[in-house]
Amino acid sequence: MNRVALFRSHGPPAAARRRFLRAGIAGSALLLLGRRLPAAAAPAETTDYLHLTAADAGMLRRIVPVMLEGALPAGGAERRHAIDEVLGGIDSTIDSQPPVVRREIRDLFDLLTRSITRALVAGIWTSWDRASDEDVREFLAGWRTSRFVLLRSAFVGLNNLILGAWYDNPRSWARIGYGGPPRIA
Amino acid sequence: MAQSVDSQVLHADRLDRNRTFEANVVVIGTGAGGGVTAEILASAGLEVVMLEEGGYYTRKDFRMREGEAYTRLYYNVGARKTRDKGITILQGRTVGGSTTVNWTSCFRAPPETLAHWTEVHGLEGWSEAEMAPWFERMEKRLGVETWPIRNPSNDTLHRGAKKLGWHVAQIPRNVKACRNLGYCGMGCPVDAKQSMLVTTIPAALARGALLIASARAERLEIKGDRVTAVEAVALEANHVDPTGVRIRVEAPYVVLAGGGINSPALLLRSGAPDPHARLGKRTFLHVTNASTALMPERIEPFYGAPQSAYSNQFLFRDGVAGRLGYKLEIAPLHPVTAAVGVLAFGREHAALMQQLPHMSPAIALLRDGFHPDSPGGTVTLADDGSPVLDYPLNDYLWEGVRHAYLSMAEFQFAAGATRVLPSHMDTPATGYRSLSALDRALGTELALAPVRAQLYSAHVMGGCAMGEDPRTSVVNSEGRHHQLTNAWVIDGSTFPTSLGANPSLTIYAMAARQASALAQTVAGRKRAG
Repeated sequence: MNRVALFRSHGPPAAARRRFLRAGIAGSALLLLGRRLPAAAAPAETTDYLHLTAADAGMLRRIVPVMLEGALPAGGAERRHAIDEVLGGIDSTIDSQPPVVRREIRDLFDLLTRSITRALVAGIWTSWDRASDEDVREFLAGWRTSRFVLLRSAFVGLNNLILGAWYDNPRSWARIGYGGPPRIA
Repeated sequence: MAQSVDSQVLHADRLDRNRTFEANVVVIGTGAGGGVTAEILASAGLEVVMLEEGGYYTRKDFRMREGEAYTRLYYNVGARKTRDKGITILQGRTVGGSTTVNWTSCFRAPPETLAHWTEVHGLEGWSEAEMAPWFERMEKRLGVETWPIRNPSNDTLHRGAKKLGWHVAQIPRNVKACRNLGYCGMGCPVDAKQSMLVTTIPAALARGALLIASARAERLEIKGDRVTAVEAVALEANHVDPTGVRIRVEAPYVVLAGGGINSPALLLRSGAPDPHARLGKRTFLHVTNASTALMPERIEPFYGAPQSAYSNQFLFRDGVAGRLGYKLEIAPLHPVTAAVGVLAFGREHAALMQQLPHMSPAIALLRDGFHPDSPGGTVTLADDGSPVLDYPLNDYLWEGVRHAYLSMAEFQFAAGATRVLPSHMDTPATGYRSLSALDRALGTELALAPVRAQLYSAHVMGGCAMGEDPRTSVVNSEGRHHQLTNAWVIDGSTFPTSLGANPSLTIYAMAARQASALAQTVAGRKRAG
C-alpha cells in the first residue's frame, strides 16, 4: 500500500475538504454504530416499493436529479416520470441483492435519512426537500473523494444504483448514441 | 431445449412441500464443472441429480437487456464484492452457471501454469501432454474454433499491438453459427454459444438426469468421513429469498461444482473436516483493471463478439513466479456497464456518456497466485452463512496494476486513441492525452488504493486447492476430497493458483478428466456391490 498516496488529500475546495474530513471521521464511527441507533420516528407509512421507505424515496428524489444532471429529460412530466422510473429500478435492484447487501443499503439509507447523521456525515443540514442542488453536489463530491474507504464505497453504491437504473432505461439511450439490442430475424 | 428434456427440470420455486430425492451421484452446480460432470456420469448410466441455485432461463428469456440479465443471471446483480469492496466480481448464477453468460473465450491452460502446478503444488497427471487429450475432447464437444473477425473495439488491440511489435492473436470461441451480436454477457438469444445450458445439461437430462433449479445447497450432511445427503432450500423467483420448502438429496457420491467462493463456503457451512485450515484459502480472481480509450472513429463497443483479440505480451513479463504478469483483452460495453464504470456524476458523467459509441475498453487479467507475495484471498462466512471473500490488495499487486494501466494506454494510443480513461475514481473526466501524463498521475493523483482504483474479476478460482499433500490442499489431483471419501470438487475452486487465461475451457477439460475417473470408480463400486 502506498501510504503517502493513501493519506494524500483529495477534493479541491479546502473548506469543503475540512468539513468532510471531520464528517468522515464521525461518519465512519456512525456507520459502524448505525444499526444501534433507534429507528427514525417514522409515522406509519405505505409505499408501493418493496424496500424503499417514504423517507428513502424523499432522499433519493433530491439525489437522483443531481447524480443524473444533464442526463434526465429537462423538465415537466417527462422528467418526473423518469425519476419515478429510476426509483423503481433501484427498488427492484435491491430486491435481487442478498440479505447481507440489502442490510448495507438499509444502513446507508437510514444514515442519510436520520437528521443527525444526515447532517454530520453527508453535510446536509436541512431536510432533503430543502437541500439545494449545490448542497447535494458537495455531499456527493465529498464522499467520492473522501479519504475513508467506507464513504467512497457508499458513493460507489449510490452511483451504481442510480446510474444503473437510469441507463437500463431505453429512454436514456438516444442521448448516448446507443441503438439498443439488434432485431433478430 | 427440446420439450422432452424440459420434463426433467424441476423448478424448486414452484414446490409447495419438502421433497427428498435419491440418486447415484448428486452434482451441486451446473456451470463448466458441473455441466460436463453431469453429462459424463449420466452417459455412464448413473442416476444423476443436479442442484442449481440459479433459475432455469433459456434462449427465449435472453432479451439482450442489461438490468434484466444482471438481475436474473448473476450473483448480486453482477456486482458481488470483496470484503472491502475493492474488487467487483461478475459471477454467473443460473442454469449453466457462468458458461451461460461468459464471453465465450476458450484458451487452453498455459503450459507454464500446468508445469508450475506440477512442480510447486505437487499435482499428478496434470502435465501439458497428459491434459492435451482432455482439451481436445472438450474443444470438439463445444465447437471451439478460432474466431476469424474482430469488431472495431477488438481491432484497437490488434492494431496497437501490431504497431508496437507485441504479441497479438485471435481468440478461439465455443460458438456455432454465431451471429456476432455482442450480447454474450446477457445470455445468447440464438443458442449459438455452446454453453452448458445447450450442450452437456440437455445431454444429461436426455439420459435421465434430473435438474433441480432455484435450489441452493445449504449444507452437506456429514457422518464420519462420508457425505450422506445434501440439504438445499428452494428459492423465490428473485433467487435470493428461501420459499421455506426444503429439498434433500441422498446419494452415495457427491460432486461440488459451485465454483470459487461457493464450493469452499458450502464445505465451511457443513463443518467439513479441514485439519490443516486450507478451506477457502488461496482464492484467486485474475484481478482485472481496465482502461477505456476514446477513439476518433465509431467503435460501438456494444455490438459484435465481445472478445476476439488478445495479447500475451506481458503474461510472463518476469517469468512464471516473478512480478505480476497479465493477459490483455477487450471488454464489451453497454449503457449500464459504461455508466457504472465511470465514477463521476452530474454533467461531467452525462457528457462522458455521450462518448459511448467511441469508447473501447481494454482489460488486463492479472495472474495472481504464483509469487509468495500473492496469496490471493480467503473465503469465510457471514453471520447468515453466506460467503465473504477477503482479498487484501498489497504492493505486489499494485505494481502489476500500475504496469497494466500503462500497457493498456500504450497500445490504445498506438491504435489512435485521443484520450484514455483508466478505471479509477479519480480519473479526470478529460482523461489522459499521453502515456507520460498517465505515468506521472499513477501513484500521485491516481492513488493505488482500494475503492480508488476500480478493480474487477470475472474469474473466481481456488479455495479448494488440488494437491497430493493434504497439508497444503483440500482435494487430490483427481478432485477427490482428502478427508471426505465420497466427495469430489470439480470446478475452478480446485485450481492451486489463478490460471493466466480465461478459465472456462480448462474447467471443461478438468471436469472431463475428473468425471471420467469418477464414473469408473462409481461403476466399479456398483458392480462390486
